[in-house]
Amino acid sequence: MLWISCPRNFVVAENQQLEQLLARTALRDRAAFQQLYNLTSPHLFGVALRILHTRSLAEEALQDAFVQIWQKAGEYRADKAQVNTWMTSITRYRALDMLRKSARETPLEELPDSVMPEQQGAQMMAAENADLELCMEELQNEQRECIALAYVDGYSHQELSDRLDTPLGTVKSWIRRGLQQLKECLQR
Amino acid sequence: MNYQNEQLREALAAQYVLGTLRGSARLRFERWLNQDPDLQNRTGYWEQALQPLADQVVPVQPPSRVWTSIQTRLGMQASLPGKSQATSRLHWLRGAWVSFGLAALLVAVLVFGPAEEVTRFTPDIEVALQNELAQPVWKVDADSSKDTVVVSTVRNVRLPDDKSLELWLVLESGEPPISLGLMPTEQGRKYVVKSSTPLREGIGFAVSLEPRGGSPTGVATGPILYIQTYRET
Repeated sequence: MLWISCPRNFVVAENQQLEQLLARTALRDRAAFQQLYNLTSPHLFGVALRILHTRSLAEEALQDAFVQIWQKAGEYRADKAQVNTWMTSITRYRALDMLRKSARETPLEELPDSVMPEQQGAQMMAAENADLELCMEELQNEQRECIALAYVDGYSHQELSDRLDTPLGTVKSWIRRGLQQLKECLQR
Repeated sequence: MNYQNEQLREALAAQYVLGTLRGSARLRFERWLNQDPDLQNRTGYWEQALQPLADQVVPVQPPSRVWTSIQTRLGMQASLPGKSQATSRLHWLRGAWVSFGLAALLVAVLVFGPAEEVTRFTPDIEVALQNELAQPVWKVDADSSKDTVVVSTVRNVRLPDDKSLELWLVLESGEPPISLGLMPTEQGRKYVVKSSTPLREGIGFAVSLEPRGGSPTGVATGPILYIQTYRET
């Protein structure tokens, strides 16, 4: 049965395993590439879907991302980034590019509140991720909400301003200051 | 734009990763990024710092055609050793039933009305999910012309702190169900979700018990507590 023994989310997949698979992918090992795809595609597809809201576009973004991952596997540097971060970034940036080209079909007010990241159970974070969680807690609610909506759901400044019924300048300043405070907290 | 100012460089790197740097500013930044190791380091810092937010996103199993397309685009033969996708309809569900040995707690009331082309939310699928005492717990209304589902919580649901209830669209194709997010548990709370898969491709809804925040794998990992089809299978 395909899905019971299914690709584990790479939150729990060993980073080391992914590194080996990516290294073998760089050596044009197709079986390793397929295994890498099986392990990571559910998570990356989820990420793309949250940004694009449209299944067909998310499928396209995922395709493009894995074509890039195959092509750029040799450029990956383990001392610069973890594999899951490297792959997530490729997928997110591709989805954001596509977002720019096609207006989203889902009106923003139909987006479910209850899949907002802060309500989604911080328990899913690994212990090593607890720092971000703690530092997000220190932000004002508005700053936290804006950062999460922008990162996870691909909201632009303007969309945030509309959704939160707040002037654009205020939203921009929440984000700018929120990011500054986040970094100060993370570096403490 | 001045790329020499350190504060500005930092802000641009952060907003590039966050996604709020848009349009021509984003394209300009990407060109600089390619040739500027300092910007690459700053961008890398933010990618790693914000990654936990991406790790929280509920995974979704992509359809098998995505992998086929990737192989085609990369000029690979489609006959790589892979897992068979052939699976009987609802096979996943039987597995869940057998492994958890749970009986459905559900009595459902079903109304199937004609779909109309209207702009307002007009539910043509109405399902009531009831507990073992036949008390309604949620009302699930769906408008299949708009692929929108509204879950209304009729009474409080008590759950252990480390658990969540996740709503799934059960597909006619027999592919794994699609997550529609987490069920609200507080009386009066509504949850509106637009399904990325057409509701007409679905045959029903299921609710599974999952770790807090939802299934970490993109498929139901916990027992199916409620299931109700809205179409004969």
